[in-house]
Amino acid sequence: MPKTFICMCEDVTEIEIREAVRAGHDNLESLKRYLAVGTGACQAKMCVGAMLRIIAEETDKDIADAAPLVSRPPLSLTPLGYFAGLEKEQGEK
Amino acid sequence: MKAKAVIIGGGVIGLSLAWHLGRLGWRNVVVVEKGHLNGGATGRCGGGVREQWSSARNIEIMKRSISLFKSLASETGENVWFRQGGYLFLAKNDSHVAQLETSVKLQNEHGSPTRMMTLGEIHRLCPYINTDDVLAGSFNPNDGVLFPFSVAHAFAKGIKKHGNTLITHNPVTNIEVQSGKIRRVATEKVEIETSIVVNAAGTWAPAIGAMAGVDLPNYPEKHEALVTESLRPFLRPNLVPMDSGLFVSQTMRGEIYACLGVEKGMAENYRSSFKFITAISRAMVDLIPRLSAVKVLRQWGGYYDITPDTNPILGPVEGVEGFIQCHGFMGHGFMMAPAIGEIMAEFMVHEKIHPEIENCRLIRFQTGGLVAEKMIIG
Repeated sequence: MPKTFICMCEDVTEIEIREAVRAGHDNLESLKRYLAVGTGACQAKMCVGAMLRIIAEETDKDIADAAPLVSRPPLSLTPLGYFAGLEKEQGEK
Repeated sequence: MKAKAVIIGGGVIGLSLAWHLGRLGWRNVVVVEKGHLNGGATGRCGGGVREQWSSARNIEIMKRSISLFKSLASETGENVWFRQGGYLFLAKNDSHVAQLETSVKLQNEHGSPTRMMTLGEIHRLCPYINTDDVLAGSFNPNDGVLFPFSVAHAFAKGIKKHGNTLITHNPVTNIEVQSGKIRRVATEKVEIETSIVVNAAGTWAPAIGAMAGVDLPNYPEKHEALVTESLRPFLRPNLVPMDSGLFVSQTMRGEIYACLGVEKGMAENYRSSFKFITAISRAMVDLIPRLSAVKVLRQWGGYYDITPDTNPILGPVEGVEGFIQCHGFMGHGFMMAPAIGEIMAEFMVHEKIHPEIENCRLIRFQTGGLVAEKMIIG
């Protein structure tokens, strides 16, 4: 178990997440800001389910009650050049 | 419960103040935070720290802050990912060059090693940047960047080490004032009897002030940020092209962090906007053309805590004894937090009135007073 990775992007293990939840970071927003889980390339798309399950196991919360993470744009990784070009096409300043 | 002092706001300012109070020997200090740590401006900021300011006061405050940031990890046992790669300001017109020259001279007088840079020097330091319209720059190697999430947790750890208390997910519901003195703070989880309340609520400070009958002039202004995928380290200094208000930095995690304010004035919300992502992408690609292929991971919004004369609001207020203000940092509270926390703690513990407190009291808006700071970025 010590080497079971939950957040592949930021190299965060299951045991680290369990310890953080026990230390009081028992919701996704707080966990994210403590371990930086979900802040990597997948933007929590891969790890969110496993993290919810751990929170539910470690606390008396139901998975459904553990608040989901605020999703932030863009939906998928997008090059800066794409957005920069959009503005030029629309002629916005 | 009873407390020696209650600090309202678990952002970097309130946390730093509580840590310094503990360092000076105060116990039974309680910090109350309405949400989770790093949920407000602290967790949304870029983590840049710099000595390059245009006023003697801010230069001195930042020299002290950087020195405290350097020892924060060893004192608290939490890695704060401090990287001193410098700040490079880029001037594209004569008035900005003159502004930098004046500031560099003042910074040098205060023992700070800032210097002007020619285009050749800028290219050697940052080979990837586009200097087509750049006339000159200024660089200070002491400036740098930290990881804000970790800084907040470092302070929180330090506070607990001193035996003081941090209660998160605990909004304040009322402040009781009796015959002009602070008596009690009501929060969702607990009632706290105390004679000292510090308002360190940042953008939310006016709402806290109102609970004690104190009218505060701060308002929130939306600023937005993005972060890209992680790259091999290539960008040593944090970059500030002065014409655009853009800030670009490579963090210790390899990501490129950038921020910009595209909506001036009172903010209605801090949702991220399409206007921001197009404007900042264009500014970033213009500054570093190679970034065109680099992918954005996420964007978000946050608030600058704005005051009418660009200076913070510090110290006691008329009419409510024991009600201390510590807010209004114009989007630069993160970098100033270690020194401001120390100044405020020395005031509270030793009654030592630092000139910054004397200058920045709320009453100045009635009596007149402070010179605006020029090097506010964003």
